[in-house]
Amino acid sequence: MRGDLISSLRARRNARRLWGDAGRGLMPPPPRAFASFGTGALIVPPSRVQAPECIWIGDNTQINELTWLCVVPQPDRPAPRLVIGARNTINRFIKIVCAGEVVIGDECGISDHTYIADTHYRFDDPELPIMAQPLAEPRPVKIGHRVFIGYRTVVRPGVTIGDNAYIGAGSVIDADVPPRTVVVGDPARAVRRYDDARKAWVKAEDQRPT
Amino acid sequence: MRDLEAPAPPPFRLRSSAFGLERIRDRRQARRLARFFKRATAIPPRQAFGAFGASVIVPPARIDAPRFVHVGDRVVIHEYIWISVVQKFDDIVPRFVVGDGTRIGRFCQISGVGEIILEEDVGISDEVLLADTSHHYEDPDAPWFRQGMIRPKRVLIERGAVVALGAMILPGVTVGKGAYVVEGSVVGTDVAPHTVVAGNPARVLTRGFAHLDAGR
Repeated sequence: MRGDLISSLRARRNARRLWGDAGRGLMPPPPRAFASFGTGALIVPPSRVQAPECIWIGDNTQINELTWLCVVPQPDRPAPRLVIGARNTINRFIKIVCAGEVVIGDECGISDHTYIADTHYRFDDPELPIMAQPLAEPRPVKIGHRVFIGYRTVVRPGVTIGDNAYIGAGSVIDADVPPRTVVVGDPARAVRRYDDARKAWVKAEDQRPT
Repeated sequence: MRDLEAPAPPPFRLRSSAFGLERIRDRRQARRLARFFKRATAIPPRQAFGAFGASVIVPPARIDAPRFVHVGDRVVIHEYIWISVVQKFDDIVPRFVVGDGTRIGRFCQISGVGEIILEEDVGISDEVLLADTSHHYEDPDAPWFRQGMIRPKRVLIERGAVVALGAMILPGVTVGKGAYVVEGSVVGTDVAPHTVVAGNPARVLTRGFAHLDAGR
């Protein structure tokens, strides 16, 4: 009986050592590990957070479960910065890859399965596996204030999304999105924009956002 | 874009000792978080649902208002589903109906304020979005959570249809009997029975294989 208890405890400890974070149910790091962690901010476990010392999170931001904040400091580059503003809601299964700079403004809503990246693997050498090749020079991603990003959106490196933009489900954002614009599609194109003179949303000319 | 400048990187900090007070505090907070997640994603009792047959929902799952969820028999709903079917309009009682023999995969999101209906033997794969509404954006200066929802349009997936991995079904769409929505498509218009649609926006690839349906 007692031997069973001890061996089960030992097995559990070994599992924790083997699996690391996964053994603790992918617990996000404590707030003091972050560069800044606002009051009322919450990262719901299970979540995977790398290099929290490079992550700034504003007040009352909620990041829901199974998010992967993949911040990758590299020896030959300045430290990456992932800045998430205040009062954001970032939903489940998000992956944010940050090797340079990713900035998300205030009061954004980011839906499930969104992928935001400021870099990608290079594939110059056809002989090497791509995963063994270095990351591309990161190009900063900036997402403005009060942006709504729909389900399963992909935001590519170097993109700036203006304030109050609205991004439809399943879009792939490869070019900058001006403020107050509705974009959808793959590749994303503007479908509506806000006309200040008429104080109304009008149909955008059928062209890719520039 | 204003005031988005990040502060300078933090100075080097000494790690606290392994048995320090902070570590105890961290562990307590981690336990609290885990408890929060467990409670938020537990399956409500079957009496709480609008109807619940001989079916199973695999935890963890988020079910915001189970009284609007009607689940038939032989249904399997896999883990990490989010059934966000809630009442937002006084004159609309929302309804999410899952017919007999339907299977819903993992990581799906059902977001509705009106009717979302899955008929019998529907196959919903992983990471699928079924939405009959979206957030308003009428006010160009307000964040999404200060604006209401757009009035819902019914989403109907008819008998024997399949929605493959990562497909998105937008408001007002009817997916016909025995239709197949290919992986990753974004469906904004009706899909005729026995057609295969793919792409963003979804277009018809193949139509008319009704002879396959003769046995039903």
